[in-house]
Amino acid sequence: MKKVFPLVFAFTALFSGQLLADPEGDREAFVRYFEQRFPDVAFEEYANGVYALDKPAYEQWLQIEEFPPYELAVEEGEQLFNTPFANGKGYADCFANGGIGIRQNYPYFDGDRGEVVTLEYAINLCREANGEEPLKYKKGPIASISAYMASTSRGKPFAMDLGDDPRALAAYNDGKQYYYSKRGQLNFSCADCHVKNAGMQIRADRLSAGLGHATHFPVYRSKWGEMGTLHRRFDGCNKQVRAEPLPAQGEEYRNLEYFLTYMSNGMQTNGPGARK
Amino acid sequence: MKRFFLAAALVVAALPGCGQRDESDVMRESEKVVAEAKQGYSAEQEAAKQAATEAAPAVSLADEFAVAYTQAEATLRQAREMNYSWTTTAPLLKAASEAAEAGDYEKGMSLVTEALLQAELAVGQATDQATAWKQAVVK
Repeated sequence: MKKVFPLVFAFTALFSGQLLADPEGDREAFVRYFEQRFPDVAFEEYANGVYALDKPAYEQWLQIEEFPPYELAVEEGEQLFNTPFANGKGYADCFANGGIGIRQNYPYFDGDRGEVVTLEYAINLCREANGEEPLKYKKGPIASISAYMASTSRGKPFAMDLGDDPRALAAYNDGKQYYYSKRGQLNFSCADCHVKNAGMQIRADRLSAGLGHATHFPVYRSKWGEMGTLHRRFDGCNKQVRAEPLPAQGEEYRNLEYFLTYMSNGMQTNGPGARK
Repeated sequence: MKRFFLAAALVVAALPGCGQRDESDVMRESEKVVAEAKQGYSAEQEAAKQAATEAAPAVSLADEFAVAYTQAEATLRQAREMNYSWTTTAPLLKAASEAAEAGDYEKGMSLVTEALLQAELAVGQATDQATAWKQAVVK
């Protein structure tokens, strides 16, 4: 008993935060918050980002979607996706169902790797496994390949299951902590803008809701004039609050994406998207 | 301080016709003695400080800058290790370094002091937020 008690105590202390965590409870609270805040906005509409909260901008966006600015990236992405590696294999060999219609399965916690795997991360894991150089994570070819893969999955609902692995729960909690922690010289957290002040004006823009944030990436942003990944947006958001950004597809941002996507669990994928 | 009041009391007691003066006169005179004694004490302290400064080796502004820069760099490194560094800090350090290289150590010191302050605030922010974030969670 003398030897067992300290071990039990240590185990409980180490994992108690995770064991008491309730991701589904968090998600329900998150959804409920926005339902109460914007009672006229349907749950599915949040996948449209700020356009769910801004009627005039929504009308403009619908017109843009008639000739989507991400179409060229999707075409380029399809071409890259179907171009074999030097060893003769291709992306289809790395993904379930040949990489078609699987966007909603990402991110997930890989028990063997012991880490969160996002779609872009998986693309580069595939490349490295086949002797190819990894692509840069924020824009360019990786955004195009991701855009193509996302386009084959439109309408499929995210169905994340954190399972029983305490490491998955730890990754979720890590992302949750990041989301709610103030940072940068301006001392803002993700939640300050996209929960507390969702729908409010920030200079000439309106702040989008955190609910539905992860569904439409990668995205063509008018500001960028090109495609960019979710981690490119994380990078920009951090800089906007004057916090030095962390590496794209590093552990912190992958855990953040894990948390953020879980908050939108049940929503349909609708990437790639076009945003201001 | 007790010696001054005692001195003052003795001086007042020695004044001629002490017993015949009223209390307010006594108080005024003792306060005057105490004030004069305090002035002398301050002058003594000042002289001692001056002597100590003259005896100590002179520290150049360049040396001061070097110490401050090292400290600011180390604190920025700490903030980065905590994933909490600000985008505004590294440019300040760079500008401080450039000013020092150009020989303008006063400007360098001003910039490096600001950089150190920002880095310290970032470290403090990381420490606070390690627990404070929980209060913001939607329930």
